[in-house]
Amino acid sequence: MTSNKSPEERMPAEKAAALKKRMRLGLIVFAGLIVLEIVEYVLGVTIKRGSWPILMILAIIGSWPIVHYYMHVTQLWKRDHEE
Amino acid sequence: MVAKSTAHAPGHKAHDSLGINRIGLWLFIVSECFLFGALLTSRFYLQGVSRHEDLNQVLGLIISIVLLVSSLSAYRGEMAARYGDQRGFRLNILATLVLGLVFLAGVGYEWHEAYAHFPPSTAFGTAFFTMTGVHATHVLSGLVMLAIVWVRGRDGRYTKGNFWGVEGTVKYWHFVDVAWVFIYPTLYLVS
Repeated sequence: MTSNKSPEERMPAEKAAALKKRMRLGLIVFAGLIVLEIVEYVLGVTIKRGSWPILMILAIIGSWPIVHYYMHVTQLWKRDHEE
Repeated sequence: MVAKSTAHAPGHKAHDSLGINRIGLWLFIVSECFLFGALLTSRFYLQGVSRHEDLNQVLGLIISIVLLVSSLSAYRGEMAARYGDQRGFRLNILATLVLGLVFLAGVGYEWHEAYAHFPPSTAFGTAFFTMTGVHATHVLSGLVMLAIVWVRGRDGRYTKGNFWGVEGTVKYWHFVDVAWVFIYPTLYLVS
C-alpha cells in the first residue's frame, strides 16, 4: 500500500522530532507574550499616573522574544549549519 | 589585460545569497523602526503622557492578542516549510491570513468608535489615526505578501532548501507585531 503523502511530507523521525521541538518553543514564547500583554493591560488600567516608563520597559521586554525566537535575529551572525 | 581571478577555496561559495537576503531584509526592518519611532515620539510630543479616556482598551487588548496569535501561526508556518511539512505550512499561513484580517476588522471598528470621540483634527486624533493607519497599512501589505506566499506554496514551490519567500514574509509579519507591541501601550495604556 502506498502513502498519499508527497515526498516532502514524508519526514524522517529525527526531523519530525526537531520540528516538534521548534513548535513547542514557539508555544512557550507565545504563552510568555500573552502573560506580558495581560500584565501590561492590568498595569495600564490600574495605574493612573506615571505608568509610561514601566509600560515602555515591558514593551521592550516583550519585543525581544519575538525578535530573538520568531525572527531569528542570531541568523545574521551564525552560519547556516549553526542554526 | 589579465582578468582578476574569482576562484574560491573548495567548499566556499562566491557569495551567500541567503545571508545577503537576510541582511537586506533586516536593513529594511531597521529603516522601518525609524518610521515607527518617529510616530511614537510625535504621539508623546502632541499629547504628553496622558491618554484619551474614550479609548476602548479592551478592544485594544483583544486585537493585540489576535496579532500575537497570528505571529505564532506565522512562526509555525515558517517552521513547517523549513522542515518540509507542506500541509502544516499551508494551514498555518492560511490561519495567519485570517487572523490578520480579523485584526484589520478590529482596527476598522476602533476607528469607527474613535472618530466620534477624537477626530483626526484633534492632537490625539492626529497621533492615533496616523499611528494605527500606518500600522494597518503594514498589516495590509503583509497580508498581500502572505497571500502570495500561500498561493505559490500550494503547488509545493517552497521546499526544505528553498523557503526564503516564506521566511522573509514571516519575518516582516513578526516585525509588524513588534511595532504593535509598542503602539498598543503608547496609545491605549500610558498615563
